[in-house]
Amino acid sequence: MKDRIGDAQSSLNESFQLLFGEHELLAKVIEFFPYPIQIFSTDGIARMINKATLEMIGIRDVESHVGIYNVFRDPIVRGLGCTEQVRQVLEGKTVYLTDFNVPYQDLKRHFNMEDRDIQTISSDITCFPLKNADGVFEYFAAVFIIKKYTGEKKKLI
Amino acid sequence: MHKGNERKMRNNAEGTQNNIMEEFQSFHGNEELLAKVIDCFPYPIEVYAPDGTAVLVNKAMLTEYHVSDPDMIIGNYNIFMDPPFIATGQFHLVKQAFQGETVFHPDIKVPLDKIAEQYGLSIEEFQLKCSVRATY
Repeated sequence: MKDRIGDAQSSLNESFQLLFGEHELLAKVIEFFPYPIQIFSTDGIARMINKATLEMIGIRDVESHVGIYNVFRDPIVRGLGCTEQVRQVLEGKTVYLTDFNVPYQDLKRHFNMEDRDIQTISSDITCFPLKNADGVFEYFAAVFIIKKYTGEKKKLI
Repeated sequence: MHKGNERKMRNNAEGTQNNIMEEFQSFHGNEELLAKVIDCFPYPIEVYAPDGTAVLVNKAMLTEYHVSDPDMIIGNYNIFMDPPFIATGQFHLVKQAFQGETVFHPDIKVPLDKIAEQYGLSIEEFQLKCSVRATY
């Protein structure tokens, strides 16, 4: 009986793999990830963002961000004194920014943002390098764990 | 400015912009890069099939729980048959996730001693107990 269960399980896993190749499955995890994820090239330019980035941060559309926004030239990141800390990701380090509190009006001033009744977005941000098999990396990613919006009743934690 | 030069400049700018836009923000065709994001993600990620069987784990998951072989988990661990997890009384939250909701589950106390027992390992192989927040 144990063999039959094992066979059934293997069969299920095979079906799952056929339905989603492993890379496709992992891509879906990013696409449906409930927190914003942004992927940057090493020059700091955003190359890919997921749906949660638009919905939770309030960026109007992909076109006004991808290929245009540069995290190393972001005046808000600079104003919070975090630019050099973020740059450490280029040395292969994982960088943790905690309690990154951004006034929404500042975001609206600098970027193409939705109109929302929000004062501040409070988040923890983790930036990490994406290395290839040779240990070289051309991209890094940032995940935003959004903890709280002030000015709205909604809290996420 | 001469019209020919104007047209040339416009075409160059559009060409550059098109190159940038073509290169990215299509999830289709960039699966390898996206796979790398999950693989290098500094927090544990586990993906389950609808029957609750683990089908994918990332490196951070293996490191966090000191698991050297992913096959100990993939195809073998089933969240719906995990006694310590069932004992937390949060079973219904995972069920909700399988019904299409995003579920936030703060302050999970991971019962490392029970997990160690389940895999036939000693507690010493889990170096610390941790309190985590999970999102399904």
